[in-house]
Amino acid sequence: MSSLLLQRLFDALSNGAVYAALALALTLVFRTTGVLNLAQGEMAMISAYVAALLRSEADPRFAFSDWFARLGTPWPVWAAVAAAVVFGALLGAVVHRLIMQPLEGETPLPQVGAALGLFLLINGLAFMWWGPQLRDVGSPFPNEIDDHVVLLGARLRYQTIGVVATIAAALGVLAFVQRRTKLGLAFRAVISNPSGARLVGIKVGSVLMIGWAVAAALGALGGGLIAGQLFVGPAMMSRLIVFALAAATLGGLGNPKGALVGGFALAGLETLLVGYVSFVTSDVALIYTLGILIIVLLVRPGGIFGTDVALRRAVS
Amino acid sequence: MTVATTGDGRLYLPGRVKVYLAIAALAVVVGIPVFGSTLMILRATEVAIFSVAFAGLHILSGRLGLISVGHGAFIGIGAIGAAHTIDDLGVPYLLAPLAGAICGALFGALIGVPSLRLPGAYLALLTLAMAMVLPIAMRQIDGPLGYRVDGDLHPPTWTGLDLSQINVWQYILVVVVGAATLAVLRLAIGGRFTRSLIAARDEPTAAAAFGINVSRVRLIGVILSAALAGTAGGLSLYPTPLVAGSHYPFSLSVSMFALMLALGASRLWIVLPASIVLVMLPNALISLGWPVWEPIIYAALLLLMTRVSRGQGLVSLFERPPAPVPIRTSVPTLEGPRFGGGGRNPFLLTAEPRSRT
Repeated sequence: MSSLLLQRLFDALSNGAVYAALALALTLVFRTTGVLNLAQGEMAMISAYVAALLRSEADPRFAFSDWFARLGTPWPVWAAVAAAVVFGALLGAVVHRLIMQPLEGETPLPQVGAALGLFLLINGLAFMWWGPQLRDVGSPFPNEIDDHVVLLGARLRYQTIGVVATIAAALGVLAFVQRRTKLGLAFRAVISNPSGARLVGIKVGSVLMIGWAVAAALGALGGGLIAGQLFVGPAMMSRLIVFALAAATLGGLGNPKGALVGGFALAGLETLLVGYVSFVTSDVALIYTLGILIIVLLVRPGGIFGTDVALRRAVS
Repeated sequence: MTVATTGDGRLYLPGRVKVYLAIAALAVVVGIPVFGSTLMILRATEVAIFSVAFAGLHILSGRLGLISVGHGAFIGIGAIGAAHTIDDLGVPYLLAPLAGAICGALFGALIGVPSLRLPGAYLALLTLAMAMVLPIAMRQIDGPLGYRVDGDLHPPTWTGLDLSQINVWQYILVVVVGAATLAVLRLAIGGRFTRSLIAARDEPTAAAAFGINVSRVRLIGVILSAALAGTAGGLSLYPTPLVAGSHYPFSLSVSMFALMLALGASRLWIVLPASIVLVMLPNALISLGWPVWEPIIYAALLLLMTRVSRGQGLVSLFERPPAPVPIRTSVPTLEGPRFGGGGRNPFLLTAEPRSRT
């Protein structure tokens, strides 16, 4: 394998991890509540703003930074990202309680409508408060030019290793909770049979709320980590959410393993397209992603892992 | 399953009031080019264009119960498609709406075929992705400044309009084509096809049992809906021969969806207030100095109306609830012939034996 190809694949890894995290968040919500949360990216965006606020000194041009200044900002990056994840989880829980739970059992029309309303609300507020300027969060990992290891002639950056490892660790914890704890058991019960779960005494509403919180926290983790490369701004997620939707579909909407593989596969494909096809810029890659999305749905609507979770949801 | 019925209770208005309303509307349509300012004529033209696009959304969400978050993008596809058809294939300028309709229909099929076999969320997902990608794609095709169509719509001499009144001529063309499109649609609604759309929305299984090909009906609905939006895109070339990706941002698609859902997608006449709000709200907010509030207003509308009306929109709150359907059970009535005895059925609850003629 040429070292250039390997280099490009290495570069794709951290993007892939972030796409995977966001796709997994979408998948988690869709699997548990059947709602396609189009606002997942925006929830991650506003969580990333929390990290940015905690990283900034009091600045009159940066709304709310004087409030956050009382918390002793600037915080170290890892603490700011951790706080963003906690904020994301709270936001997810609140969104479920206030917006999504009352619409339970409705047709997709009001549910998607509410998700889009949330999308507009968060995006509009972020724009109103903070304008189009980009904010720097910084990377929690060493991110200077020399911070890399050389592997088979290609540079693997510490930042990449850190992002992938962090998201992998988060997923590990998630998988452990899912498989080995009572909460995970309740979660699985609610997914496979909500009314049965209710009958055996599981508080379905609370379990779903935790599901939303976990999904939003995962999205916030992705958002906080990518902020190290991308900067934080109201439009930071508009591209990412398309990639995440495509990744989730590629892996089979509702299939966690698929979302993971889909995220990395899509990031790899994007990097290779941009790297090897001269007229493909990173914007054009987005167009190809739409093409991939359409082809996947045509050829293998269940995604690469052929999940039937998505298809089992009654066609409405 | 939960059913998103519109109910049969229509908005209660006496026939006389409807006639007055129609006369008033006609007076406004005729009065604008005569008495209105240039700006007012332009805004009215835009309202007419968006009405056609909203009609597409009405078919999709109101009649089929499906979700498109990409109708602004379908308008853009119609516009850019019509622009290039006119310049590259030599199609007459006046046929722009038709060219736009065909382009819209093609993309409707491209999006509809893969997503309609799957749950409704997939159509939302694909249209959302399309709406986000389209401005970028249009920028790639024609550059950031967009594409200018050769030629203009000068008023012919028989109209008696001079060159300075070109906007009036554009207004007349847009209103005539738009009204004709909506009139044809209105005639088609209530026909067999629309009933099959509603059947496919409310009771897909029963519709299939009655011989309706549900997936085909849905696909045709999506194509028709996209074609209407494409028509609007073609119409937009009448007043502005310039097509650019920045005219069709993602927010346009979302605003359209928000308005339709908030006002109520189930009635065709909603397209008019919806497009008036879509055109006037941003301008009103800019003149007030509050442009940043626009997405927040739409968000509040969406969040409130999904909660209050369960996706049926504002109009449903004023409608009479549908008359309760008498419950008919499938239990056989205990009448004589069923039991084959020919005589009086001992289980029959009526006191008198039925006369059997």
